[in-house]
Amino acid sequence: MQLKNRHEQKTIMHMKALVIALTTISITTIATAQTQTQSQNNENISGGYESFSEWYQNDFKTGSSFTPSDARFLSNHYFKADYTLGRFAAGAQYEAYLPAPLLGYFPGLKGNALATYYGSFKVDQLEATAGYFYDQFGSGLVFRSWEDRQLGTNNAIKGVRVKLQPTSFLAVTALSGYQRVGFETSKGQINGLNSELDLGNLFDFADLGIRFGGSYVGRYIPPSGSEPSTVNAYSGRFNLDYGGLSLGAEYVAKGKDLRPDFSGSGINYYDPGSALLGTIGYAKQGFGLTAQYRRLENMGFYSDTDPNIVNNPFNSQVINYLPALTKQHDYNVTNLYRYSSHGNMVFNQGVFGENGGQVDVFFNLPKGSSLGGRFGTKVALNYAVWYGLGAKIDTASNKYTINKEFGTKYFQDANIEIKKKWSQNWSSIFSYINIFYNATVPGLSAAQQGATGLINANIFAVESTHRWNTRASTRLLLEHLSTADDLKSWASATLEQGFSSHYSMYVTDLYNYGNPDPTQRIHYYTIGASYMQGPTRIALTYGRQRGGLICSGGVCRYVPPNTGLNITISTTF
Amino acid sequence: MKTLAKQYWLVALLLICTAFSSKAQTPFPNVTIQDIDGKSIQVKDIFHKNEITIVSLWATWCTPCQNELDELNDRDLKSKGIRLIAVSEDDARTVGRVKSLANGKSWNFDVFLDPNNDLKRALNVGPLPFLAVVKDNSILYTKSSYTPGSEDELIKTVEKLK
Repeated sequence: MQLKNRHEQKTIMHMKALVIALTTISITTIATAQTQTQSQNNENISGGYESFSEWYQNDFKTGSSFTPSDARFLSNHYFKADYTLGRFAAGAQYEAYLPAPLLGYFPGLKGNALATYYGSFKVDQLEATAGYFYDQFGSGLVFRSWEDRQLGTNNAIKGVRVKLQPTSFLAVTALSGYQRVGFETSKGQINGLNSELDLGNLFDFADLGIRFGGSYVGRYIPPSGSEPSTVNAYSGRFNLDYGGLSLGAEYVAKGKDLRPDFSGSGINYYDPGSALLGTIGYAKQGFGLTAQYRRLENMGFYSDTDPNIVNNPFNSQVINYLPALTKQHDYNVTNLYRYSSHGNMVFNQGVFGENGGQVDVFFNLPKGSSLGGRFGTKVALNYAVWYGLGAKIDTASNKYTINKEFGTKYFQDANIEIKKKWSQNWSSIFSYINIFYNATVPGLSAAQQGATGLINANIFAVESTHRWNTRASTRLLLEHLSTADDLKSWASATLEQGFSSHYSMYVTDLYNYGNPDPTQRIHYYTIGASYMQGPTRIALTYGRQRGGLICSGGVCRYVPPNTGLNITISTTF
Repeated sequence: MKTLAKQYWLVALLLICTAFSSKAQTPFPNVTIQDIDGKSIQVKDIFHKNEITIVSLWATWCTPCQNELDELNDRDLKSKGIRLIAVSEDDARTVGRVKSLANGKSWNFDVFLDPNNDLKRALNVGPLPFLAVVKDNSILYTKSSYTPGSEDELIKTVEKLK
């Protein structure tokens, strides 16, 4: 009860502070707008608002049901305001989850709070920040703090950061703090040091770019039992570019950290981890090629030692960033079998790290050529393949040795996309995707929420857009996934009508017509409308969502099946 | 329940404040982004004096973003005295594809990288695509979303702002 009172008092204090802050911001904004020409633009206030709200309905088809005591209406609101005055900047983000966050979000986000705030001071060579901040070292393999509201991810660090750039060729960042977890902060303290050396600038090379980077990230938790109180991770990397050629590599070594065991033994194990990332690319006008290779072993890195946070569905307390290196498709059926990365070794889930890569090729068939036609044709090819590491396990000691670099095949995606412009007002995109997904591995099957067996699927999609005049347009998208495996074949159609640059409507349906169980041949339909005016967008949709992974930037969260009315608003000022 | 009602009222009040907070000109935030090769650069150093510039925030996974940039690329903005800059919001998952894609599409404008979304956050941008029209470091106009045909309306707006 005392806790509840304390929480309520805290909430009321936050609300009072916010009312005062917002009133001040509004008055200052109006005043700033009126006096901006006199103040020589050294003072400014900017901000934004974003919200996702849904009214959920019972739907016996998908099995989503609510009891009378459940809240049917859930909403997430984010207000952010930044104030700058010369070299000084400050800002805050207020978040409200009313009465609770949307389905699939971190349940600890109930209520409202001034979730993040910061103050910073910047001179030419130095920037100091106190409060909550975001940062990334290298490619993020060793450290990344970031926000993605669609995913409900916010790994901001609450602490102090100093950035120093003494010369044009050297930049150093030092930081220390605790990671944001819901409206609280992590138990583990994170300390980091990053340096970037630009030899191209140092030696004034005209065409050659050479950059080196080095990072240290440490997580400290007060000692408890046999677990290591400090886990250190180090990253070394380089990037080289000359003309159209580019080459880069990063290696991360992580000290002994938790290797989870979900077999019910209750015993945790501690092993070192490593990551290797290599990239090579070549590009010239009309052609581009990129190839990436990555190997991960015990690279889950968290700000707590609780085994339950390993692979947690909310991406909570994750210190580093291990995205799936595959093409991020954005059609309905292309998202049925998504791959997510596997950085941990979890024996009883059949997951043994990850080893693989992808190749991308883009080229343009020029206008006027026989294949390019009058308006040109753009082609994109992508191939990705991912394996687990082959490991020999000593069950008595629960130790392992890697005996094969490429063990069980997890996933493969080969795809081609051709964009053809037929006339000034008519264009089409043709896509073909061949997917292999290994849902016999329990860890992968769980990530896919119930997929079973070895899945081989072929996907065709064709999209055509016609502009009727400078304001109105129609877009039709037809998709088909054919497979003899898992839930068998799917089809989808989308029709979108733009009435002007301000209004558009769409209707879409995804149908699992091949499902062997006739009761599961469900139409996942949505009808939606949106209004856009300058930086403001308001979208209203009604429909049935298939439960599954919502992914952004290669990280995914699980959302249960749901049906209802959805309102999304975003604006900036 | 009383507290919850207060929270709804507070959200409504904040929304009203936000709706009435728009103003004519805002300085473009000066954060550090990267050129297409990954070399750090201050945003203020990418603009040219007195030149009107369209800044597009896009990503390789955003089809409407690419459709809009393809159309703007075909409009020969240079001859109209308009500069176009595309800042990729791809993070480590897809940022490696940006240079290849931009070259493969024969885009004839400058492309920059914002791999940890520092610029996107500083501009308080929600969903992509997002456009800002900038002159002398001041934002003159912003636009969210893309519908086919809106690029011609955008060009007319920019020409009026020149």
